[in-house]
Amino acid sequence: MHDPDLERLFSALIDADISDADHTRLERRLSADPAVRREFLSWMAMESALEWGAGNDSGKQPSAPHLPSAGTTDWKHRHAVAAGMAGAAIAGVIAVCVMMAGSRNTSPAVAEAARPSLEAAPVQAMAWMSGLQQAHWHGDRIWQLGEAITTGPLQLTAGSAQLEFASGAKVVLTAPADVEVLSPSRLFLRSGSITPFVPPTARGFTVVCPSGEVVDLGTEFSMQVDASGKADVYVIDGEVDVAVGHGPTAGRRRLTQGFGSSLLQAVSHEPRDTARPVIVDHFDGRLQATEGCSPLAWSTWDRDCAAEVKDGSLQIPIDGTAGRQYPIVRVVADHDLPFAGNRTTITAKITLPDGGTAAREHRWAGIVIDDAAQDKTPLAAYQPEVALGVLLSPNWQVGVWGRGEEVQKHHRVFARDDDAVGPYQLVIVVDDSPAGRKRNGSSTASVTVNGLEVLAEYPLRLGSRPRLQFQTHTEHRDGGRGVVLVDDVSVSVALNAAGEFAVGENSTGRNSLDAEALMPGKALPSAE
Amino acid sequence: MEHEPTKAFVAEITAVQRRLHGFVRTLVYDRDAIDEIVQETNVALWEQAERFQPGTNFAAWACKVAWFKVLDHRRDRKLTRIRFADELVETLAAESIRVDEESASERAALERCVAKLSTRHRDLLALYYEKRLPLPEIAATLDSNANALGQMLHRIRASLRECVRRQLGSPAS
Repeated sequence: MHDPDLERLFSALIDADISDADHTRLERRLSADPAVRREFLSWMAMESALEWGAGNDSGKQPSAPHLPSAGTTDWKHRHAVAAGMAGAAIAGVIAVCVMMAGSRNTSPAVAEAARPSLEAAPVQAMAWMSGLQQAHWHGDRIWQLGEAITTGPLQLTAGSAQLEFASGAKVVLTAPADVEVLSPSRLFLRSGSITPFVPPTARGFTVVCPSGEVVDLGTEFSMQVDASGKADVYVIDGEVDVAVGHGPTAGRRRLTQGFGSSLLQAVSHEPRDTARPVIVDHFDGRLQATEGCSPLAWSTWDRDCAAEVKDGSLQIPIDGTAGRQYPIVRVVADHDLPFAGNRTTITAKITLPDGGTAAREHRWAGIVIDDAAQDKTPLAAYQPEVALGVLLSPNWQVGVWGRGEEVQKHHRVFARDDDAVGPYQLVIVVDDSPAGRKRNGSSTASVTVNGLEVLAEYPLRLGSRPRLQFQTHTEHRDGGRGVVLVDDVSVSVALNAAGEFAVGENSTGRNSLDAEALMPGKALPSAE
Repeated sequence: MEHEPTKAFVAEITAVQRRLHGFVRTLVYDRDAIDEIVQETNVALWEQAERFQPGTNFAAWACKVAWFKVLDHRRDRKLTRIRFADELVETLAAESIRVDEESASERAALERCVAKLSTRHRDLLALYYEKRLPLPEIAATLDSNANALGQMLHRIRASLRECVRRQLGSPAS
């Protein structure tokens, strides 16, 4: 196949000199025709080969990649990282100072700095001391700036200090703090308070505390462990995965900005090596003596009633549905709400699953208000009996399903280039008050997404047990189009630690929470 | 379990660099970003060195890790003008992984074809690919203008491609 127009588009793309119109054209052609894609891949392969020196005389050979921190030009940092590599290398095989062939822009200073590390070959440096402020340490230990940190307890008795890890994460310690560096991306917090900052390159950085584990996903959060081993986590920004207990079956919860949590019941005060977590959201339910299921109950698409609450945590089974062409993953939570006779504002922050392989347009998270009063009712997309379902997808589509209507409406809220994954602020105002019913002729609901009104006054028929549900729905494509490359399924729905979803105003109802209640240092109110 | 990466691992990660670069190149079109992503991938691979099992498909695993780094990159830079739709990128990634390892014969053919270029063309390639100079700067060196050089670069690429095709006797796929 020889298509000069196409080749011109390829060149333009490579040189970043492509008009919007051409970009669109190329995108379209690539999407439509596998033969075009094959040619594209060959062209890019050629480009890659040229960049690897197919054309020049020295004929570069790929060398063992140096382990620099992405993006940094700080020679001292590279030196420290190189030092860390030296510990990890097979003796005599790896020359840490060998630069990756691709990074040709390294300055002489870096090459210079890398060489001493070969001779020095220090003990493994997983982290080093990158900040000290009037710091005093247990046993009158003196730390220098830049000094490498190895295993063993690190106890700050006064002042503050910053540790920088080989993975790129930085952790600020505030006295008193008792920590232990376990690896370039794992820190044990025995007691005290820390603020880790984890850039995207250090994603997965883990803080282990005696009662559980916190896996950071690129965020800034504060953590405090008291003498009994109980830990408080408050998310300042971003998302954090919190696990109670250790090991892959530990109850795990994802917190988003503004939510805090208390991890109870220290299992052990010694650091334990845990397996790399499978990120599955487990939500803690509160046991309440009701007939049947607990108020925060989980059910899945093809299964029976909610999983039991065990040890204060509920498992959300997430698995593909056998026999389907597109396995569907669904996570559902039920929660009773006293709509009847009230005007209620429900505000929830919803963060959709990130990255991974699910085709984005098939990922949804949202709230469904259902008065079916049946524990096992499958939801929304597949059941028109639902009173009101509002689901959001990452490409800003809002799906609304209504009772009695076969029609499923999909509204495009707005089209944006920055294809946000979330968080979305979803506000549903349910008006079942006598005044409202008189004014509107029925109970109504209105919906805004991030302040934009999507639906105004949708008539609802609320029964005696109106129920609020969160739903997350993910489709994974297999074979054919799309890529299945993921081992884990990551689902994120923002709830607070008490299993309640409201942030901000809620005029009535027992599930209201003041924003104040989520400030650090204050205990969260109980569900009642 | 060993905590130090084995010789086998080191050998594998060394051998996969080209492949990694090629893979990322398919999906990301900014040279600096490509380097950054490959570096980040290497960091991740090193960190997971103890999970490596000799005999498994290292390249596939490495590309998988790179894929996530590409996604991170795309998420962090949502406003880049040059940006294909998610679905297309996923498809390209899948097809790129399925393509055979960069064939030595294609590379050899490419080297032969480059050798056939004129001196002026080879100079341009050296300045652009090896020294990684931007076109305007090269233009100053070669007494030309960036536009003309852009055209020349394209013609070189097209003719190299054609030459490789002929050398291999069939459209390369």
